[in-house]
Amino acid sequence: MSEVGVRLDKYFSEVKRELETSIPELGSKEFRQIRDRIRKQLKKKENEYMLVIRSLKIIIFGDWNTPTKRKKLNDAKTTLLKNGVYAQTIDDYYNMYRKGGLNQIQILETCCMNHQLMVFIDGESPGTITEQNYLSENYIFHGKVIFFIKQSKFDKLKNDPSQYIRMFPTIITYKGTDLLEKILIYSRFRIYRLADIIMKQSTTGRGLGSPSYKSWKERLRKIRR
Amino acid sequence: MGENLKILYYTASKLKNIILENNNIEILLYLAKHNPRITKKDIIKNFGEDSLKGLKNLELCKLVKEEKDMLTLTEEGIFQVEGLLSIAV
Repeated sequence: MSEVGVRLDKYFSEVKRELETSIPELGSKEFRQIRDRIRKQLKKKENEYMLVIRSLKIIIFGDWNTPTKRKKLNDAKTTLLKNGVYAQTIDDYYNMYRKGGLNQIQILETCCMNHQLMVFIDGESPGTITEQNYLSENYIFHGKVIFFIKQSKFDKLKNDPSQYIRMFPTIITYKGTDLLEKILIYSRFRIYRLADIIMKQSTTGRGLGSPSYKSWKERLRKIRR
Repeated sequence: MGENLKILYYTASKLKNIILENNNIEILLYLAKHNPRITKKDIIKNFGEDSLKGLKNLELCKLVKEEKDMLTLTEEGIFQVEGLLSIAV
């Protein structure tokens, strides 16, 4: 816990400690050298691209009602962070936003709008079912979701198109040990793709600059009518 | 509450320019080393009054936040500084 009571995630606490020791003192020759190198390198297209990628956010959904399940979510988050992709887990999100007095659905709505990719690990706890139901109803978010389900469970459901998993356009199966690897692979593809689109749109002036662009809030309002 | 995708688009596509403007690189490195023990007065003392405009843009990008008069890097800010140092090697 920092001096002003801001609780940093374990990954960020460790990174912060490394930054404190590795960054030279302000005013020193070494500090100026690092600053100049950053300034020079940031003018290269590939490094600007890296900045955009790191500014995009993933939220990871899944069961977290036991320490083992919570660890699984955290391991997925740490894997993404260590590979240059920003991620949060839904339990951390609830912890942050509950203080503001928001209820679960309000938190979910905020979360879905604030994150560019939603990694959903199939689960069975009541909270996860609520989240699945929320996403099912609000289909405008479906394009942002990649849904991970155990191969064995998928094999039981795949021949019944009435099953709940039909609500997720992107379904990825995993076997026990390859979940983290698959989350990283597919998340990275999606985030890099979105970064490409943002870079291209900022060059062409299309997309969000368009007068016909509608915000997520407006789109949600339309489907609720 | 809720996403303003225009802010995201603005920050994602303009982030490079925001980081390059004024003393923002120095401010980010300085905060990474010393926060949350830094105030706006420290920023003015070390970087001048003009640096407050850049600081405000860093806050808009959610890389920095002010809490109880102390400036601190957000987790996103820490993440971006980590990335910046990786390209400076």
